[in-house]
Amino acid sequence: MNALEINNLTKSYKDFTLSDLCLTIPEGSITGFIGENGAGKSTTIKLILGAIKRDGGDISILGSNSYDDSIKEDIGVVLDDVGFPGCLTAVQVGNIMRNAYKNWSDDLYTDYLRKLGIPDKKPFSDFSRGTRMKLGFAVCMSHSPRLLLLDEATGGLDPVVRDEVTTIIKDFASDGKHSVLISSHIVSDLEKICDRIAFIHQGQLLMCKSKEEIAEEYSGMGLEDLFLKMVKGEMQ
Amino acid sequence: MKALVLKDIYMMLKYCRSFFMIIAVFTLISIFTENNLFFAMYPCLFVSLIPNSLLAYDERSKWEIYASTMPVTRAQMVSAKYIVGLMMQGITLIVSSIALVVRSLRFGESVIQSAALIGAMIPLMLLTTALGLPVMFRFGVEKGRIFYYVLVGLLAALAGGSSFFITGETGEILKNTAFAIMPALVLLPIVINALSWYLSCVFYKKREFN
Repeated sequence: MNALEINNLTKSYKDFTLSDLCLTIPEGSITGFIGENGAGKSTTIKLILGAIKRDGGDISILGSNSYDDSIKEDIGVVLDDVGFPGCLTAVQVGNIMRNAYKNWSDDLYTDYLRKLGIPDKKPFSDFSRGTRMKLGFAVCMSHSPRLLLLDEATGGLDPVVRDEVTTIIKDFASDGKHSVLISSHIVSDLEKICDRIAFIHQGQLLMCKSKEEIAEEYSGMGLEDLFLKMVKGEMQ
Repeated sequence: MKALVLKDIYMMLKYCRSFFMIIAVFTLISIFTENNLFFAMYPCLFVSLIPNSLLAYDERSKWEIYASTMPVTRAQMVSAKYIVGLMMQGITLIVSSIALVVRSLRFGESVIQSAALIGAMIPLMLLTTALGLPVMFRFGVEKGRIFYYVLVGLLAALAGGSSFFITGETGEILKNTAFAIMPALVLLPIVINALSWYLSCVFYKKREFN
């Protein structure tokens, strides 16, 4: 079973169109979704989550129709803005999530808070960007998800936090049953941890291949160079 | 939905302290104000602004987008706001009722008249939420806010102005018929509230969170 299947996904805005996006995330893989700012990465993730309505196409998440909200029990998400109200503390967030997720584990959550050095009684608005992201990760990992959707989750993080976060992601997918889709415009992060790479540019998918296929086809060219050449039309 | 209500309670305890202070002060003043019911009735309308305030904080923190990652439906997100609103209206009504009774005893006024006023406040409270929230859920807080303030102002004027009608001869007639028509006066806003809840769910389901 594929963790995520997107077929001919379309969304139109006045000055941007995501057109006929087809993307498959095999179970057990970490797929990097690379695109420049405004390419459609966040739009794709919001369409997967139902935060915005699609104009066309289908999305299947862990074998289920994406319109079913109960599937979100099995999805862990970290967004660029994270999204917790500023007054909430980590303890309060844990109390809320305990009542939201059937598989919520207080022990796991407490463990992540400790491991990631997240203060439990400080309001979210007082956190640095890195700590906010870490709290987002602590929450998303504490209800035993099967699929992680990470939208620009490493952007703006210092190298120490980025390393902590990439370690969490690699450990998560190491058993072959858990899958990750991580979007970013920071190619170096994705190069380290992803085993599949998808390029998106101006709402169109340019490529989606495994790292081995890319290395074989494009003679060991770096991902950033490859992306830039594809965007400029110098390569297909 | 318990998670969403709990989140709103946490936010209310932090962000709505000024609401509680104003309600407490107005209620206290109402006990000592003889010929003006404004201070008694305004808290019941004012408390109806709490769900709007919470919606505003949700939008500011982009909670709505985050909530779409959770196993909660749009209907549950709407319902949490109505539940919290009703909860706070209930508490405020009890506090205002106690204050009104104390006031009546203090100034030697009819307790039945106070009961009638309390009965009149219920539909006003319910209507304020019922008419305002669907607009907020449909258009968002920024655009819905103006409509809401106009509505609260009108209802507050109606509530304050009604005190002139419930004295004298009109007051006597109302006193005698109050208990007869009260069920209808309470039932109608409940029905409107239910319709409002339904409409809010329909509107919110169609909203996009970019």
